Formats: sequence, structure tokens, C-alpha cells
Amino acid sequence: MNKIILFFTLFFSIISFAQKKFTISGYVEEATSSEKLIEANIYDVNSNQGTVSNTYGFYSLTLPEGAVNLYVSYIGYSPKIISFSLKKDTLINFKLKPDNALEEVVINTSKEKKIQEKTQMSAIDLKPQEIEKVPTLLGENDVLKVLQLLPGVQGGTEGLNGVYVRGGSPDQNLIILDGVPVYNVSHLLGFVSVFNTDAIKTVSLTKGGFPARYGGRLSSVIEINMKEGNKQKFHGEGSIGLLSARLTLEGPIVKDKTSFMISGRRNYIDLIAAPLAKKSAENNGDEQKLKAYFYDLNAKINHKFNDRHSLFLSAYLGADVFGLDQRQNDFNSSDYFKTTSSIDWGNTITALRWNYKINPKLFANTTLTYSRFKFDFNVGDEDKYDDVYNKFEAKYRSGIYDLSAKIDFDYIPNPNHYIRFGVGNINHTYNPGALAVKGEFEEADYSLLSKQKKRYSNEYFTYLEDEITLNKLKANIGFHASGFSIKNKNYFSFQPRIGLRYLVSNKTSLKASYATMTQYINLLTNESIGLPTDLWVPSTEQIKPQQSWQAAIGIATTLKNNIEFSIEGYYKKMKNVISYKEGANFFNTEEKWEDKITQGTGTAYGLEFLLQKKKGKTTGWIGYTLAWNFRQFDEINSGKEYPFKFDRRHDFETVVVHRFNKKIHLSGTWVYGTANAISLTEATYTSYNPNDRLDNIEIIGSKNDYRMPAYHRLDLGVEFIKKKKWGERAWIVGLYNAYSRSNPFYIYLGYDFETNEKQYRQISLLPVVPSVSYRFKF
Amino acid sequence: MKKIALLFILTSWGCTTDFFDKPIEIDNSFEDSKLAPSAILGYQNDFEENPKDKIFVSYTLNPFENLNNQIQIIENASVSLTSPTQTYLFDYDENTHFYLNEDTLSFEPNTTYTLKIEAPGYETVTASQVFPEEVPILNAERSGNVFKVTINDNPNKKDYYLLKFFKKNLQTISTDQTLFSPVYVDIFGTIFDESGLCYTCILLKDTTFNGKQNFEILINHFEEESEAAEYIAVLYHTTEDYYKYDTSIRINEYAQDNPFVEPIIIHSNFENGLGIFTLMNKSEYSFNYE
Repeated sequence: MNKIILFFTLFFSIISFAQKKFTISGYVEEATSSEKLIEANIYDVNSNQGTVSNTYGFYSLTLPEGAVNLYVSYIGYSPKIISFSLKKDTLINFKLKPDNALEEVVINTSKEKKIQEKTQMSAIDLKPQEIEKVPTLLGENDVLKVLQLLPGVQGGTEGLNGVYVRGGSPDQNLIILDGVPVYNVSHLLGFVSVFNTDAIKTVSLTKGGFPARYGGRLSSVIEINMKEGNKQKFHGEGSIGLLSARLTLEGPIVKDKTSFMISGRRNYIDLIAAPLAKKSAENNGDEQKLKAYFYDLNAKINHKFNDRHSLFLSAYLGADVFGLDQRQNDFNSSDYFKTTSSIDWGNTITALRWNYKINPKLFANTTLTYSRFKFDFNVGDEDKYDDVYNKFEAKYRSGIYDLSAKIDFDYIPNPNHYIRFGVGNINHTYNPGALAVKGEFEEADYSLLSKQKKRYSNEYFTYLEDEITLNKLKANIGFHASGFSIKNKNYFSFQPRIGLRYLVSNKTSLKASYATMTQYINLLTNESIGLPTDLWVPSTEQIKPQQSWQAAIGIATTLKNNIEFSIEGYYKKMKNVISYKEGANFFNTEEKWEDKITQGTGTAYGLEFLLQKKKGKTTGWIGYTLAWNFRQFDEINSGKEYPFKFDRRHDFETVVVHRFNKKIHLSGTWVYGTANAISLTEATYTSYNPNDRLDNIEIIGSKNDYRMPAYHRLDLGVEFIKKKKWGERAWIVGLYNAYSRSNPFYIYLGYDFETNEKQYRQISLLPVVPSVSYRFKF
Repeated sequence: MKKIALLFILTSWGCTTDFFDKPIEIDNSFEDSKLAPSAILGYQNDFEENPKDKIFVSYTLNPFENLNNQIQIIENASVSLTSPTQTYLFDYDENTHFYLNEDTLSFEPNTTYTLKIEAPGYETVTASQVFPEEVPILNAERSGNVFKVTINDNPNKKDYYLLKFFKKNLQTISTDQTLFSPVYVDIFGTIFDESGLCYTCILLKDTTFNGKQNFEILINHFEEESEAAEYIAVLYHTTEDYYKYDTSIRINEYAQDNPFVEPIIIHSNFENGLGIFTLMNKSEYSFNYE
């Protein structure tokens, strides 16, 4: 009996003890702008319990009643310490000030969240300040080009912004801007990405160990968040470079309540080339109008109603416009010949988000989005000779647009559980191509409309994940379940996810993850140039959804001077991946797209090393990837497995930024990659065919059986910064491919007319390219 | 000014012509030369100039060695075709450069035939094919710019066809034989999604019309509208290997040196070698256009 009484006494003691817990919640913001800080660390020194802020800066930490000593930190910002006695649920919004003493190694960072403490593996966060420092082609800062410098990520063709993550294809990357998928990420055929770094707050790349909240693509999630707009004071920045000019303005509409951010970028090839072309045509009595430019416009407005409700409206509008109109006039009559041609493509994206803190432990984010990519191609001619008038015009349209709604919840019952769950629905509309041709001729008029049917599909999903802390072991366990319906076909997928972290010591942890993914939409692309004709198409009755599973293990540790080091090994198996069939021509629009492609399997595995220094005068990273990457399709390479085009065995990259002082920053990157795979003519023989002809044919033995020469490149940049009364300005001088290495674009079997010999010849694209740009901030 | 000059020098340094297009050394691991025969049997017609079945025997050569694009022939091979009951030998003919058989070959449907080719210095190559059944043409006619051919396709079986049309030559030649020449044709409509075209023939697989009875194949042609003529439609019932070989050869033809076309592996069904051995069972149908 005594034992029973003792048991109940203990039980109710525990209950009563449990009841005396209270929740501290709020937001972590930057002090000068009130921008929310993502993944800021909030840590109670007394209880050794902590949490991190979410994508919207919200945090929640439930602690026992009593003395609390909170330490709030974020890389690049001065930490904040606050001590008080916790007696009730408490709301505290933290405002952190940027740490201006960048030259100094920041002391007292022991409570900041280190790489070994994070459960998430295979993920890297980048800030615009880091991206800006990396030297790039023509001085055009580019998020995707910086991601290419990370281990596990390959850049594909030189100079372009293709992103190939752990053996995946570009369409297997979920690239989201403020929660909205972006379908075409390229300007200028891939030389520049659509993301204007001035408008960006954070960039994160996840290559594996995908938490359950992510889904819809096999290989990576690239999450880009736009700035919210300075809620404290008006601020601006911009730059003028060889390729484009940018201007960003942000500021409060109602201080501490409502703010805006608007950022524009336009390139100006046409401003230089068009007058020259016009002048040249005029000298011959003709007329010529050239259009050749791209532009972006990012805008965001947000309003904080109170500490529980905030509303955000963000938009992106960007396009590439190329066109040439020419008119040749006859001097002696009114006769003329006129041609017009134009290619326009671009994205339009909008997102409306509502943040609602339901209670101190439960946070909801509701998002409504619209995303559209469209491609228009117009060509025509018109002539008049001896009063006879002829006219011809052809228009081609293709694209995709999405409407989506989702709601995500963060529930943090106590420091040992961080539960996320949500549901969402995406409605896709695909326009795989419509061609309209119209002619007005003397003999007769005609018109033709040839179009592939629009397709409609519905993708819906739900997920649940819990990040559980069990002393030294931390686990993120969850599932992502999704469905896809198109016409009368329905697909369903249940995708379990698990991520584990075991703290071996304060400085070292072991990590492991397993994730399965399903992808319902596919990009028909040529794997090299980011052409606007690339077409997003759905899974259909004929084309099954792509699926993958990926397992990874790794070690993460923090060395001296806060240098982070990680090694990860991964193995990924992909099913129903798509590829063009042998001989399929990307420019052939007559053939039904489903008949041009085939489905097969992919296998990728490898090891990745990353050594990263985030603080101090010298920052940067050294990455190395050892990888294998294969594909197998029944209808390609006689059914035999072959190396993927970007099967690169060794990939080495180093990025260094050194701040000599507050005025001069030097940066450099050097990349080295062993050769990409290529198919080459390796023999000839004579064949007899039913045309009763004997033909010599050149054959390749096996697909991607040869290797291009190795790729390496050094880029350099120097930034000269000067403080001015009105703010700050900087001159940035850069050299792309500093030692002018002729890297291979493609290789063909050619002929040397001087020696009468056949030979393999290499086409290269980019020699040394100097650049200079001017940047200002006020 | 100095800085501008420096940038100019740097750019010029990288922009030499040799930078963008230059010869390179690549380890071409060309294996030993192999035999590469083309043996399309059952294809020749009595009403054509060279009606005999013929086999061409080639060999693979490193592309650097064949400088003048000369025909690559093996003249000293021994070529034999074996069925369960009979063996045919083929001899090299110096005039035509083909291997020919003195007799008229007679094939039995659903029987396996094995072609064996031996040549000094090369590995012996073999390939086997089953002679397909005849698929008769039920009707053939010309209606304006279209040829219509009616057939019964075999149900529950993948079938591969080559369809050709011949027109009686208007000019007489100094033989007793009436000769016919192939007609240029084109695909009509979109029913043959996976068809191939060789200007005078259409290659079909029955994916879209498998098992259909009285199926009408429509083929565009380029014949003069007012011209009366005598035609023969020939339907060759052939094998999957031939279909793959033929399509890969044709696609390879236009894909040469085009970096935007996926590379093609030429289909082969010879063990230890390259090339094609196939058998065709043909049916003919004569018709007039007035």
C-alpha cells in the first residue's frame, strides 16, 4: 500500500512539475531593418535547452519555471543574452545587431549552432553577402553559379547555370522563391540566372536527407527567400556592370509595421547594339529595329498586424526579349520587304503569405501562390512588289502555370520535439506547344493551327515530421505523402524520411539519413544549354512519375578557429528518370513529346568533403567530390548501363575571400573537374541499305564511352570599397578564367585540310573575360 | 588608360582563333577490326534490275584511317546460310562487290536461319533470324496523291513492315523483261508515330494498329496527277532487328555532328561483329492508275 501511495505521490509530483513549464516565444529580427532571421539559435544556458527560429523568424521554447539565461545568436551578428525569472508564458522579440567587426575572429561563439549540432545533413546555407564576394562571369553575381562551387553540385556546361546535384538532372531540383516553384531559372540561354542577389535574403541548398516538408523533386531543394523590406529606415543599393544594372529600394511604409522592397535589374545589350544596327541599316536606306535584353522585377510588401498576425505579398516578374524587325525599301517605288522575328520568355510569380501565431507553441503559415512560365516565338514577313501584297506570320506558344495553396504548421510542445505538419495542393496547367500559321498571298489566303493538347493535373500532398531530441541523439522522422491526378490516371506515393544525428563529442557528430522522393513533372531539355524551348510536361498514362531513394552517412566536426569540416557518403537510386531517345532532336516540334522520350533508371553514389571557414579576415571553403553517376534505359545504348553525361569522377573547388582591411577585399575561386563523359565516333564501316546504296557510316561504340579533357578555371575579383557621406560605394574588378584555359564545350570528329587528316576537335566557349562593375549602398 | 590597355591585352590573349576550335588528343581505344556484314535477304524483286539476294561484307576501321571515305570491303570471306535442312553458300562477285548465291533462295516461314561469315584475320560472326510469315496485301490502289494498301495485321504479335511501291518504266530497255522503278513516297497522317522513311519506302511497326483487320495504310506520293501508270505495291514482313537497324541508320544519318541530337548506337545482331542480318517475306499487289 505504501508503495502505491509512493507511486501516486511521485506521479503527481511529475505531473505538477510538468505543469510548471512555460513557453517563451517571439521573433528574432535584425535590429537595423527588422528583417526576420532564419535559423537563429535561442539557447537557455541554465537548462542546456535550445531551439532555432523558423523561416519566418518565429521561435518557441518551453522551459521549467524559474531562472532563465537566454543566449540568442546568429552568424554575423552580435549575440544577445537575457536573464529573467520565468513565471508565465512570455513573448520576447529579439533584435540582433550586425557584427561590424568582421575582421576580428568573433569570440564567445560557443553557443552558436554548429554544423555538428544540426540534425539536417547534406544542406548548406548561403547568404547574399557571401554570394556577392564570389567572382563571376562579367561580374554578374549569381546564386546558382555559387551553388555550383559546392561539393555534390556540378555546373554542367561552362558558363551556364545548370545545377546537377548528386547525379540528378536539372529538372530534379525544386527551386523555390518565397515558397513558389520557379520553372525557368535562366536568362541569356543560361549565362545568368533569374535571381537578383540584391533582392535575396537567404539561400539554402538541400542535397539529401530531405525533411518531410519537402517533396516533388528527386535531387535537391534550393530555397531562396526574398528580403522583406527594411521596417526601420529607407535604404537602397545598386550596381552597374558590363552586363546589367540593378537597383533595390526598401523601407518602411509605417515604421515597425509595414515595409516594402522593390528590386529591378535590366541588361542593356540592346541599348548599345540597337542604335548601331539601326544606323548601319539606315546607311543602306533600310530600317532595322533590334530588341535584346532581359529584366527582373522583385517586389515585396509586408504588414505586421500585431505579434500574432503578419501578411506578406511578394512578386517576381522577369523576361528575356529578343527580336529583330527589318524593312528593305525600294528607292524607286513604294515596294518593300519586311521581316519580323521575336523570342520572348519569362516567369511571373506571386505569393501571398499569412503568418499566424495561434498560440506560443503553434505557428501557422498559409500560402497562396501563382507561378507561370511562358515562351512565345513569332516570325513573319511581308512584301509588296508591283502592287502585289504577300504576308506570312507564324506564332508558337508554350508554357506552364500553377496555382497552389498550402498551410504549414510548426508545433513546438517542448524543447525535445519540433513538429511540422501541413497540407497543400498544386494545380498545374501545361501548354506543350501551339503553332499558328497565317498567310495572305495573291493566290489565296490560308491559316493553320497545330497544337498539342493542353494538359491539366492536380498534385496534392501532406506531411508530418518531428525533430526529436534524445540526449546526444537527435532524429528527424516523418513522411511525405503525395498524389497526382491527370485525366483518368491517379498516382499515389508514400515517402518515409529519417535523419539522425549522434553527438560523439561537443565538436563532432555522426549523421545518417534516408529519404524517398517522387516527382510528377518533368523537363524536356537538352542537358546543355538552358533553352527557353525546354518544356515542362507532366507524368501521364504513358510517362510514370520519377522516384528515388537516397541514403547518406557522414561526420561533421568543428575544428580550430571555427572551421567546419564534413564528410558525407551517399548512394542514390532513381527510377523512371526520363531521357530523350537516341536521335531525338530537341528542335523537332512535330513529334509528340511522349514519343520522343524514354524512361529508365539512374544510380549515383559518392563522397563529399567540405572544409568551410565562415568567420575572420579570410573566409571561404574547399570542397571535393568523388562521384559515380550512371543511367540505364532499355531504348538507349542497346539497353546497357552507361555513364551520365556529367559523370565527373573528381570535382574540386576552392573559394577564398580575404579582407585586407575595410577598403580592399580580394576573392578567388579555382575549380578542377575531371572530364565529362562524351560519345565519339570510334569506327566506320560500309553498310548496304534498302535504297540500294552503299554508305560509309560513322559509329559510336557505346554511349558516353569517352572523356573530355579535364576542366579547370581560376576566377579573381578585387573589391575597392569606400565610405561616402551618403553611404558606401565599391569598384569591383574581376577576371573570369584568369589563365584563359580552353575548357571543352563539345568535341567532334573533324578534318584538317592542311594535313589531310581526320582529328578530334574541341569547341571552347569562354576565354579570359575581364569585368568591372560599380556598386553602391545608401 | 593603362588599365584599359591591360584589359585589352588580356582579352586578346584569350581570344585567339585556336582557343575556340582546336584539335585535341583523345585516347581512342579502337578495338580490333571486326566484320560488319549487311545481309538483307528476301528483299530483291524479280521485276528489278538485280533480282538476286546479296550480302555485303564490310569491316570496321578506325575513323582516322579512312581518309578518303572509301568503301570498306572484305573480298575473301566465306559466307554460309544454314537452315535446319539446307546450307547455302555465297561467293564474292567482283563486279558488284556483293556475295551472291547461284540458286534462288527459298525460305520457310517460322524457320530459323543462321548466317555465318568467316574471314582471315577476323573473328567469325554469326547471326540468326526467323523467316516471318507472309502478310498478303488484300488491296492496293492509287487515289489522287495517296496510295491505299489494305492488310490484315497479325493479332497478339509485334509486326514490322517495309512498304514500297514500284512503277512500270515508260522507257523500254533492250531486254525482254519489264522493269519497274521505286516511287518516292511520304508518310500520310500521324498514325505511324514510329515509322521511318527512306524516300522510296516506309518502315512501319504495328504499335498503333496491332491486330487490325482490313487495315488501310495511307501513303502520300509525289506522282504526277494526270499520269496513268502501272504499279506494284510490295509489303515486306520483316524482323524487329531490321526495324531497329534501319531506324538507327537513318537517324544517325541526319544526326552526324549535330550536338543537339542525342547520340545513336547503330543496332547490330551479329555476335562478335557489327551489321545486320534480316529476312523479309514479301507480298506483291499490282494495280493500275488511269
